[in-house]
Amino acid sequence: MIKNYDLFIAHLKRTGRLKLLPLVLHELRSEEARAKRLSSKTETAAENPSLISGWRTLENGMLTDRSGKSALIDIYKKITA
Amino acid sequence: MESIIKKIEAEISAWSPQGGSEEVGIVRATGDGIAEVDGLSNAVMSEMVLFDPTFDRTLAEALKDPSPVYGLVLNLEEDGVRAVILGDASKIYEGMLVRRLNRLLSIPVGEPLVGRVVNPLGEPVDGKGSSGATEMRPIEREAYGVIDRAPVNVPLHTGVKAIDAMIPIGRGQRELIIGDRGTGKTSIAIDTIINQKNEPASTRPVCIYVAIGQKESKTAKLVAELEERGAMEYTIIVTAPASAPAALQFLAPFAGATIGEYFMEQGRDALVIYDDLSKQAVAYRQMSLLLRRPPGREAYPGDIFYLHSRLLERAAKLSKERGGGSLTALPIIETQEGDVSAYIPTNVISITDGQIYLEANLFNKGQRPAINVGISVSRVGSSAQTKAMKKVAGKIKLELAQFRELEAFMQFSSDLDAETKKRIDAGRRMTEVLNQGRGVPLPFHMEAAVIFAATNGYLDAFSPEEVGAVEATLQEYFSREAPDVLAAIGESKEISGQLEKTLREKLDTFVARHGSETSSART
Repeated sequence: MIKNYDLFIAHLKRTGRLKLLPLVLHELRSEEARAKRLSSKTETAAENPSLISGWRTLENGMLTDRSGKSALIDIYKKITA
Repeated sequence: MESIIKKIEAEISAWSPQGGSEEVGIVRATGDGIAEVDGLSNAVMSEMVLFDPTFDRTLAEALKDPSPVYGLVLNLEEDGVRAVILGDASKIYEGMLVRRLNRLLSIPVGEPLVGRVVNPLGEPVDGKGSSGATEMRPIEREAYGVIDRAPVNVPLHTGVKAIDAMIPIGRGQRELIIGDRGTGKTSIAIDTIINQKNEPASTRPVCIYVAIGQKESKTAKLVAELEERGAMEYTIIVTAPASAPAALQFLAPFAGATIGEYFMEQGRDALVIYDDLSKQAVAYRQMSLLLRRPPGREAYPGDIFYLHSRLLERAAKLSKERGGGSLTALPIIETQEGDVSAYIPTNVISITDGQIYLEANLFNKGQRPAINVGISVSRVGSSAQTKAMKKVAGKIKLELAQFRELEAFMQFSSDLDAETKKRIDAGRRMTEVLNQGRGVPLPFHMEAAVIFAATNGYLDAFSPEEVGAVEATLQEYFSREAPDVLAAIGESKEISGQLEKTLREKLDTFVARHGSETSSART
């Protein structure tokens, strides 16, 4: 990531690549959005404790399921298919 | 109710808590049946993924929509993958979770599929419930190599006289059916399926008809016809209609080949018809452009040749060690204004072992099937032709070629010399004999007997205009008065010795009886 924007713009000016600035900004925005999408999320499954409970978390592109929610949905789908 | 409880019990007992984590991705953008996914850095090409709408939703909401939407990974990129959506793309949204299924796209195959209509994912669409097929096979696989193959030497009878006599097809061959729209391409394919009813059950091939990008009404009509003719009992229909996503239309032929390969590997014969590969190529072009792959000639992607070659190369006649089964492929290509030199037609012509070329002009003249014998060819089929057919059909191509040369002079018939007139009449007679309506494929022995009569001058007593009607009478005559001769031809696959003598006697009787009738009618 760019830490000092002034220095970065000065560098682009010096090397005659200022035209690239919009593209760089676009890339930075999409990187930021990507990082946001892949940021950690957690959900707790407590809506019906007699059926399922626990949590699911999503972090760095890995899903950890400690609730059995996926398994329950899979079983339901298999039976109703 | 009890069965549902049993199902639940079975599923619960089979379930084991899976610890650990799984790799997932997040939908970055979606549109036109393509999903751009962040993450999934370990996904492989052609891997199936599941679009999971359950994250951040309550259990009740998640269960409301029980039909899962699958995707197929087709582009591996620096920071994610692109996948085609195999289902309702409107259910996919930005931020949706995408789970890897850790398996390549596979479909169920097996005996339970026979008689069913399925989509390219192997799911039944005929409203008759689950197919019950449990064996799964990957839809893409490498074709058999040289060592595993045997030469094509067993005929596959289409029941169409012109084809079985002049452009014979062998089991394991790839024969292209090519022509403009409305020239009878599908009719030949359907007649071939119906004709397999005439084969003994032990050697009857399982037929797979793959409908790509067709109207659903056309497919429904076809299924009804096959059912009515009793042909569905050995046929499987794979359908990806025009309304299906391009991805499914692209996958349909591969699904057909996978189902056919199953039967081939059981040592049985299978016939797969791809109707048609032009539409598959268009679907693949659409998908490739949406996946941002660089376009080439006619905007098709660079690997369009490989798409068709890897599909058609899966047709094979296996060696005895491999069980001796076969997979015959009849791909269909639709041309525009008879242009066979377009990109896709030339590709598929060069891949296949021959082509049956149907011409709109001949069709409009009333010739059925409208085959242009001059440029139709079968490169390996002649070695699979039976002795009987070889013997009777040897002269036909030559006679018809001579006829075509002289055909232009037909309008000056009064000024022609006797020899030329004789040749023209012989050609017209032969053309009439080879004329055959849709939906009436002939068993092999009947074809051989009729062509024997035509090539040995037994129909010379009749004028070319009469030959069509005379041929129908001849068929009736054979069925009524010479069933033993027909059965013997069917069994020995040869016309020689005593059998030939008896056949000639029967034909002499026929000509004596009907020749005089028609000549008296003429006078």
